[in-house]
Amino acid sequence: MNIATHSPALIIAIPLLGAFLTPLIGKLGRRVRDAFVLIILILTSIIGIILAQQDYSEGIIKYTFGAKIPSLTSPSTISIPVRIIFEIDGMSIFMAMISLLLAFFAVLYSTSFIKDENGSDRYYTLLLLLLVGMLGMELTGDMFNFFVFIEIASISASALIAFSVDRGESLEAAIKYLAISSIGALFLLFAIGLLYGQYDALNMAMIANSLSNTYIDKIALILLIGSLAMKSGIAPMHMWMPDAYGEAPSSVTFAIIAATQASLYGLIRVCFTIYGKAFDMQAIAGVLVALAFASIFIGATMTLIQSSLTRAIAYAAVAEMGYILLGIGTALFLGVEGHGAVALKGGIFHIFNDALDMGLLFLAAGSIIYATKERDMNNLGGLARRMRFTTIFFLIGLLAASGMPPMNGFASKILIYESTYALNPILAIIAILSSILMLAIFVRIFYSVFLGPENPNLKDIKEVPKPMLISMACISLIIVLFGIFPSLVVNSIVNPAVHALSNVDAYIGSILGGV
Amino acid sequence: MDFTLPTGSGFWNPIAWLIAFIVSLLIVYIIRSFGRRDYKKDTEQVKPFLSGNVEEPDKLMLKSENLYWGFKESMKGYYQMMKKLHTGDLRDYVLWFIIVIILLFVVVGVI
Repeated sequence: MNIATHSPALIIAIPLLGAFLTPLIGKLGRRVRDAFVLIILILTSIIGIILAQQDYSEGIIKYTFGAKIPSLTSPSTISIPVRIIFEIDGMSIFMAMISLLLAFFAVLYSTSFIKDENGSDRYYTLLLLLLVGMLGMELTGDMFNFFVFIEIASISASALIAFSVDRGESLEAAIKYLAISSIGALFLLFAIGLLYGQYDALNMAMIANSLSNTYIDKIALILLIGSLAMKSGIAPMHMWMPDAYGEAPSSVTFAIIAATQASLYGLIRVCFTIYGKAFDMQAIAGVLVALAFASIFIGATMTLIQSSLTRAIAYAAVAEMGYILLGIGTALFLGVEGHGAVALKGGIFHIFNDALDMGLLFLAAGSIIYATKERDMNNLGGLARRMRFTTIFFLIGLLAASGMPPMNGFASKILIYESTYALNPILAIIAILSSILMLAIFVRIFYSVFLGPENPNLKDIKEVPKPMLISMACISLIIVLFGIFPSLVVNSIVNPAVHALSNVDAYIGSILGGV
Repeated sequence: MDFTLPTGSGFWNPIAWLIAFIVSLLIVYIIRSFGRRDYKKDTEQVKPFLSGNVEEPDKLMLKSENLYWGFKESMKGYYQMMKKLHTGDLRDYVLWFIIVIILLFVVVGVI
């Protein structure tokens, strides 16, 4: 078997197999199981690298499941693609990289973080299933298949949120996440049904080529955008996010950030690839920009009044999703050339930066909870004396998330600010002021947790174990490197993603053009 | 290697920023070195002045909820409204989803 040819199938099959083998391997002991899960993730990442190399050198990869020749998308007697087809372009690869990176460090962090918890076999099974769901959403070119994978990701994520079954808050958050995900997925399924009813097709490229701007198309578009925006935590549909992010174990939150972004990827795919060619997206772009500002403002201001450390970071994550959507909405409004292309570049670059920055903050918050068993900021203080490394990592995370130069967050935000300025200067000013507000609020969080006199109740705490520190150190290093070499990152992985989204004809042509 | 990121109307070069930052640090260090060296270490001189009151160490801790009190007070109306909207009730979460869907229906011109 040629690994390179079948890499689109293997990238799903390996973690899926790993998920179901984990409980069995777990019988051999904790260390063996942890090593097994890490090996599975390393293998999946290698397949991801092979896929990326293939995509960057040869262009869009198509893989037809069940076909005699995987690249054969339409049998000679049939004019439309009938099987499940993975269609992997620069944007898919970009998102897959984020999912793989976050999943790997989530597992590495978890090897210490959940060491003493019951049910850790099931935890790793669910974490690998979550990865399967995310990768499937990002690589598939089939709408119904996208729905299936979103369900896999949602169910595993909600089970992971409920991992700490002794905490009522976690269970409540999990139920809410499950309900919201199910409602979103049902609306998504309804929209897919409407499109299927019209065009007899589930393939994204086929639908994009067939869209004729009918009344039904518009209804499907609205349902797709509404449901995927809710799954992405865009205000005012963000309320599940502080619950889920705030109450899940921090290693789980770290992975769920990638799942949320996979939903946002779906929204971007719908707006640019499926509807971008046939439909005038100006009105939708206006709504997305408005929702982006609501997310930024509500997220930033609500962070201030939280007493729970994780909930505060969760509200900041809402604001960060707003910045991404602002870039996407501006690009939809201005078109994918000139300032629109810069906006799209900024929005996509910020997806990666948001995953790293907010992820690092959640990991640092998890370390604090691990060491102190406390998540209320009123009961924390002076931790910098006892947890020096965690303090440094949290500081890097907060500077990056607030868009302070020379961190990665600044590089992507400046692209968004400049392009938004071309759309409307007032919008750019509000975006910049909100980022400054975010910095001020993060300073307050940093002070109340790490600085000030030492809390007498926390005098015996120690720094967290090495795997947790290594995970945070690696993420911090990537943040700093992305900040210092932004042009390298943009040229190597962001520009191919932007090119993939702006070149819809190539996406459609690669499927409908046959072999 | 090209460190400059074109940003549409301008550019961003983190290396130039880092050089400027290091130069600023040097200037700060030089200004600091002009300061008085005759202060007495480990005396009252180096302790923060709290209006002349002597406070117990545990009372010196400023709690998270006390920080930015003025900002929160000035935006009291806004925060009261936001707290009312963030009910934690799942039915309200779904309601907001429906509202956004209706908004999209109106904007796209389906209704």
